[in-house]
Amino acid sequence: MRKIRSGVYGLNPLLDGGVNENSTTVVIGRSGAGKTTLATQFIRRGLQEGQEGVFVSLDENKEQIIREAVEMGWSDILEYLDDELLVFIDASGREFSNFIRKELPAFVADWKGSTARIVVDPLTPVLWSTKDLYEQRDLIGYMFKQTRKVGTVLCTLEEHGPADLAGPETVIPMYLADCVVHLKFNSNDSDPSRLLKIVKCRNSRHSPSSHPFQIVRGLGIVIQGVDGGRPVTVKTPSQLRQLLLTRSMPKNVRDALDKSLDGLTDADFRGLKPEEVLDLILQEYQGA
Amino acid sequence: MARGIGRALQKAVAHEGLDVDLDAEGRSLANGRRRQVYRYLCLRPCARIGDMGRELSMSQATARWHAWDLVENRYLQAEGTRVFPIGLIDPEDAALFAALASAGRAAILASVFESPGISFQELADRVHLTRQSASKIASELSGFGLLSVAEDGRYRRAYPTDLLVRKRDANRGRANAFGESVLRRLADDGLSPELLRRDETTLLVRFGAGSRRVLLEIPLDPYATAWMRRT
Repeated sequence: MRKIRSGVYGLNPLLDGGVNENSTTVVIGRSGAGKTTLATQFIRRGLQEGQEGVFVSLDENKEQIIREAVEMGWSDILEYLDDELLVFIDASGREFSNFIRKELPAFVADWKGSTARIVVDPLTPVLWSTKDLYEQRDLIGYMFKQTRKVGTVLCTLEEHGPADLAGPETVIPMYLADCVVHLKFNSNDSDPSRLLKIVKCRNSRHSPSSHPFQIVRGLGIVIQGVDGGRPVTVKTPSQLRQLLLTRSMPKNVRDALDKSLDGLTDADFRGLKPEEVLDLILQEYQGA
Repeated sequence: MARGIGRALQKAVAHEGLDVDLDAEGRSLANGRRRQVYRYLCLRPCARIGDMGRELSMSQATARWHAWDLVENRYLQAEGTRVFPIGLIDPEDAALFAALASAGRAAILASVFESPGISFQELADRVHLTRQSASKIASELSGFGLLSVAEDGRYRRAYPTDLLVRKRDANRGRANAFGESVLRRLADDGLSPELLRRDETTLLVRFGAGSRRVLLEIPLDPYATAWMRRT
């Protein structure tokens, strides 16, 4: 998987280098959590790399989003708009759902292999275009599967109600997306706090923790306490590799285990001791 | 890498340029309105020309003209005054589809499927007809085997039958072959069709001449869609 830079300061190390190219990411959060800011950062970063950007806005009008971006200090997006490297699309949820059902296949056939960054902000109206849960799943699944053929896709999703990621309108896209980022926003206190957590990321390692972040004018989302330059250590896997050599086990099992240790780092083991893992491996293959 | 994906998506979402006529005279489905007529008759074979014109917002004369063009070009088959797509349904069922083409009959049938065992009086209330008319229609439908009528003391009640379900299942092979034949036909007409999506109920195909391409969604499930409620 090729990694592309997310444009969000501090996010790439948490995703093992960046967002997987041609994947679908869903960013979930309540109103004010920073979803549109994150989406704009993502698309702007692509523009800087010469990738085209498409911002499908299903809720706010495009003037509002452009105004907010300019207020953020990102007035360069006006030039990208002039050059049509960035295109905003205003549509209703129903219009966009109809497009997915009827015209998306033709569109994908025409633009397959493109490296655009595509944002759908928010995806919620597409879900609400039908009450039938099966149809919702079909529609969203189909859209994810097709759109990732023409670029790297980021959709935002509104979080409603008190439950943590358990609402029906978040569950379906969460299952179907390749990568899920949750933005938590606590605005009740006098001191508002923001946290970012990567819920899942297919085909990539990712940070398991919640990371505090700030939204800074001119920079956008900046994640705190991320040490991107920390040296990678491989103590646990190399110890485990040594230990494996000291025990007897079928050759094919040893070879397979040896191979699976390639490229693993201490971060992958998260505190698991090599001896502990070895014991479990021996139990599994005892007498095999 | 070609540029302009954003503008192209914008156009596609706004449905621009998808229902245009292709510059290909003499090829039946190159005409946008004719495609609408064909699609409608795949959805509701043997539909009445008047209903079709109203739902597609074209005059009866226009709808009839396009239907006859499609008959002449062997896309549609005519049985008396009824027309249906060649190869999509069992020609023996033309009379059945003609019966379902009446909005009143379709509404009665749909009500019976929604409420099996519904009394004739309730049925009449549900579809805003007199009890006599509802009763007459129910007897006609029962004559086709589409529903069964049972006496229950002083009530007469209507129950759905599985006739349409059986016919629908039995028609799957035919519908598949129909899809293939439409694709072959478009290719023969020089409209270089591309199959974009196909499932049990629809075929989505794009075709055209030169740079102009159009999309056509062809419904393949007439035994289910012919009596759908009109929206």
